[in-house]
Amino acid sequence: MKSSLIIIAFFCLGILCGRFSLLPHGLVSEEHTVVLLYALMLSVGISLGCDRRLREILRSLRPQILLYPLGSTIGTFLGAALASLCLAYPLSHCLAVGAGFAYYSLSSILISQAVGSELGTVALICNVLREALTLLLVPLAARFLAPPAVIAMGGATTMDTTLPILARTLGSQWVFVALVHAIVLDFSVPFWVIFFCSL
Amino acid sequence: MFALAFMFLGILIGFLLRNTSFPALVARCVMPVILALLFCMGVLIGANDTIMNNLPSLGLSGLVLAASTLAGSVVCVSLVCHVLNRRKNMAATQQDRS
Repeated sequence: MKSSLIIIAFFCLGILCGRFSLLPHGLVSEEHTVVLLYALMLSVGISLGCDRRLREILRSLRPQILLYPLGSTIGTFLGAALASLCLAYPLSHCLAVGAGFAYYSLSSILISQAVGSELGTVALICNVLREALTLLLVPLAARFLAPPAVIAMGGATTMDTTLPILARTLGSQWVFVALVHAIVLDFSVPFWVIFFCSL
Repeated sequence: MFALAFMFLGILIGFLLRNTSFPALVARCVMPVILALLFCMGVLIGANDTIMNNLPSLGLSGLVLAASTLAGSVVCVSLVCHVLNRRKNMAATQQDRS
């Protein structure tokens, strides 16, 4: 939660600097962000590659548990497709935004790069809100929904930012499902986002 | 597209160096890089007048997409749970009969 606030603060600080031209001209350009993006993707890959938890989980996995992230993915895309009917953006762009699965830092940066800052801004707002809505709604939703459906709300965040509230509300026996759910979605974010942006 | 290539390269490096302290070092760099990137994104967005003038409508689009994707995944996973439970129950009754 604290790190999300710091991220938003930096983003807002950037907006202020850009709005009122507080930085020397040419310090921040598209080329610089591309280099940073590659550095980020490299470090995301390194942390995936050395993660023992990932291999432990892959080994002890029953195929049935993969149905939850699959359902989460399909549901997210159906929701984004429905939303595209009443929004000014084409279907592929709505799907790209939805495919962030609340993993806002990576998805909004990828989308800004591939499509443009406008859709990148929508992606950032959408995925930040999805995380915030999840944090808010989990206790309420747990009364009416099956535990896996509650986990599905959080998308790719159910292994970090929303895991504590899920564990407290649903009980620690669902932590494993939440971890698998998030790892599968997390891993698929760059693929889906880049795929939908290229359509 | 290059972004994915960099991620795969990273996975390979991370796997090969998994027993060294290098991945922990990299993990500490992720947050500063994300912060720098979002700051840069903010600067580019702030300097872009079309976006700044349309911020309320972009926010609304974001909210609509957030709510619809969240609802979509809840409905879909609820269906998955429903089907899994029915199959489990059917298997249980069949076992009872035999």
